[in-house]
Order: sequence, then structure tokens, then C-alpha cells
Amino acid sequence: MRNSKGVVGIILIVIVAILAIFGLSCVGTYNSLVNLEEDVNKASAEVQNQMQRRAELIPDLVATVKNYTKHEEKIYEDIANARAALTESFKTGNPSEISEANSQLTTKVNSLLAIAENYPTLTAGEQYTSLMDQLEGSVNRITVARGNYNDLVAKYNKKVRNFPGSILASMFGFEQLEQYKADESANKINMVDFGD
Amino acid sequence: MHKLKKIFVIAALVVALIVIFTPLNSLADSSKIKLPDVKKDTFIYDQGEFLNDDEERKVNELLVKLEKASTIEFAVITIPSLNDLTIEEYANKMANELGIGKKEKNNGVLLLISKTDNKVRLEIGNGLQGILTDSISGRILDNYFVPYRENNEYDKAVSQTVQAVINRIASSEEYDFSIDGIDESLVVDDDISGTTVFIIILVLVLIAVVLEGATGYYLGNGFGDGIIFMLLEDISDISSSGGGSGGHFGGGGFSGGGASR
Repeated sequence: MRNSKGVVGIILIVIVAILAIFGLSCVGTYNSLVNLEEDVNKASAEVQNQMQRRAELIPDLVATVKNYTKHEEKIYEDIANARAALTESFKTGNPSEISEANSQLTTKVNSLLAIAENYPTLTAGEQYTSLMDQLEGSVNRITVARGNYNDLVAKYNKKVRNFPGSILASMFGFEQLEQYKADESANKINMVDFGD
Repeated sequence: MHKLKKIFVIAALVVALIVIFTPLNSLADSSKIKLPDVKKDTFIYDQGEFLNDDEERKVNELLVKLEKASTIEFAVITIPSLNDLTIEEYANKMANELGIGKKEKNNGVLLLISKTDNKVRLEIGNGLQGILTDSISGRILDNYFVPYRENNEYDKAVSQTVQAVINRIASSEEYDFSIDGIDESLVVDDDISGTTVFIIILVLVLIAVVLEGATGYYLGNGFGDGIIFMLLEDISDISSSGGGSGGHFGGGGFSGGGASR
């Protein structure tokens, strides 16, 4: 008799311990969902900041190219429209739409750069090189910011889908978030190759 | 009968414990980045094995002096190959994983060189991007790295570039130091237009404010996917604290600024 009481006692203790751990982990999960969501928001703002910064470098580039070419009015209009569309897309907060708008802008800028390539005196100049470095740096920062954002969203989504996060998520309205897909339009802006 | 029950119960508990403690998946994260084995007072790592030892030592002396004079951690790392990554990806991941630069100041610089891919990059830490802008970084590489690389003089390329970077930092308003043994004639002009400078400064302030938490998460993923590990992770989140990073370098962050050639 004593033996079986001892075993029951152990089992009860284990059950209570498991319930306690479970309870604590629920609190922890809720907090971490909140924290992760905040981090994701920060990272999202960072992506938009970097895209905005890149967009703001473009007028300088346009001005530089304009000095050399007199006829290409349509591309300047396209670029202005694409920049406006990008700013609009930020309002949606939706990675797909923002990505699309950003890609559109990249495509237009690439067209401008292709035009610039026809003027070697332009592209060889330090002003142009400086702008290209800034543009490339900007695009690189967008990539890094997007990567950070995606990593955080992945972490957040895992928590939302796993146990016990899934229960808490539906109770408190945490939804899965979308990641940024890779930017197909241009990984690299065409740049005059200085190597050998 | 009692004994049998007892054995059965204990066996069940043991199985339960094993299930709880065993990770469900292992985090198989095969990294293509070749990280050096970081040693004290060593800022140059020739993993690509194409630098001359004496030259390495001279450059390292400068880098050690730089760190002592300014707390800036400037690492020069060569690699055998980019492993199909772009040099931007490689440099950014490497710099962040090594945590080059002091954590609070993010004042790290990474000069990454791959001879086989004919690529070089200056990756600038968040805290130095105002002084070593993308444009200036590009100019430094154009003037002090590329010409020597084209003659296969990598030692000279490294030495000149390192000195040019140090000179640039020393000539800024934020830093006031001088180091023996540097050729102070190695400089680049600063002719960026006024509006661009303004925009850059504005954005850098925004970056500094927004990025403070993100770099912590970039580095790692957690312990494992076993239930107990997840539970432990959740429990520790009750007192939400950030993670630290160990290693020799100070834990500085990089958001992708710099230039490549």
C-alpha cells in the first residue's frame, strides 16, 4: 500500500510541476508575442526608411544625367511617378505592394542608368561614381533591412503557429505576417566595372 | 504486482522526460561564411593565404594602435572564396556575426578581400557611417586598393587602404587621435553635395533610433526545438531581456553601409 501511495504522490507532483511550467510558459509566450510584434514593426519601419532614402538620392542622379542629355523627358516623368507610387505603397503596410512599388522604381532608375552609359564622360566623373556608390549602398541597406525584417517575421510566425502560441494568438488576435520576397527587378544596379 | 506497476510508472516517466528533452529538429544552419578563430590583439586574418606575413604584422600593429587610441575595431579579413554569395552578403553577415566594433558605439570596420573572386568590400559599422560614407568608402577603394590589386600587389593594397581609412577617421570632428607610423598623405577628398550630406545625416539619426533592438535578433535563433527548450525560452521571455554576444570583438552592428569594388 505504501509503495503505491508513494508512486501516486510522485505522479501528482510531476503533474503539478508540468501545469506550473505550462502556465508560466503561457505568460512568457504572450509577452514574447508582443515583443516580437513590436520588433517586427521597428524592422518594417527600417525597411521603409531605407527605401525612402534610396528614393531621395534619385533627384541628384537625375540632375547629373540631365546635364548631359537633352531629350529623354519620358524617363524623368516615369521616375517621378514611381517615387510617388512608392510613398503611397508605404501606407498599405503590405510587403507585397511595397516590394512591387520599390521594384518599379528600380526598373525606372535602371533605364536612366542605361541612358547614362551612352555618355562616358558622365559615367567616368567622380560625381557620378559618388552617386552610384550611394545608390548601391542604399540598395544594399534595403536588402539588409529586408533580411532583418524577414528573420523577425519568421521568428514571430513560428511562435504564432507553435504550441501554446497558437492558442494565445487566436485569443488575442496575433496574426501571421508576410515576409518580403527577393527583389527580382534588379539585384545590382548596372555599374561600370572598375576591376581589371 | 506492485513492483511491476512501479517499474511501469517509472518507465513511463522516463520516456516522457526523454520526449520533452529531445529537440524535435536540430537547427541545421550550415553557414557558408568562413569565420576566423578570433585571437586577442589580432585584427588581420589572412584566411585566403595571399598576404605576406611581415606586411600582416605591420598592418596589425596599426590596427591595434587604432583600437587603443579610439576603441574602433577595424578588421582586415581575406577569404579563399565567396562561396557563391555576393561580397555584400558575405561581408555584412561576417561583420555582424563577429560583432566587430564596440557594442554601444557600433564603431567597427571590415575590409573583406577575396582574391579568387577579384572582389573587395569596406563594410562600415553603423556608428561610423557618417564619417566613412558609402561615397568615401568607394573613393578610398578606387584610389588605394584597386590600383594595387590590378598589379597583384595585395599587401600594398591592404596597407594603403587601411591607412587611408584611418586618416579619414582621424580627420573627422568626432575622433581626435594620431598614430605613429602612418603615411598621412593618404587621403580622399570630400566633395559630396550639401543636400546629400544633410539627407545622409538625417537618415543616420533615424537608423540609429530604429535599429537599437534589431541587431540583437540578427545573430541567433535560440536553443533547439524540443518542447522543454521552447518552454524555457518562453519562461525567460517573462522578463524580456535582450541577448548578449560573446567573442573577442565588441558586438558592434552593421546595416549594410560601405562600398565594394
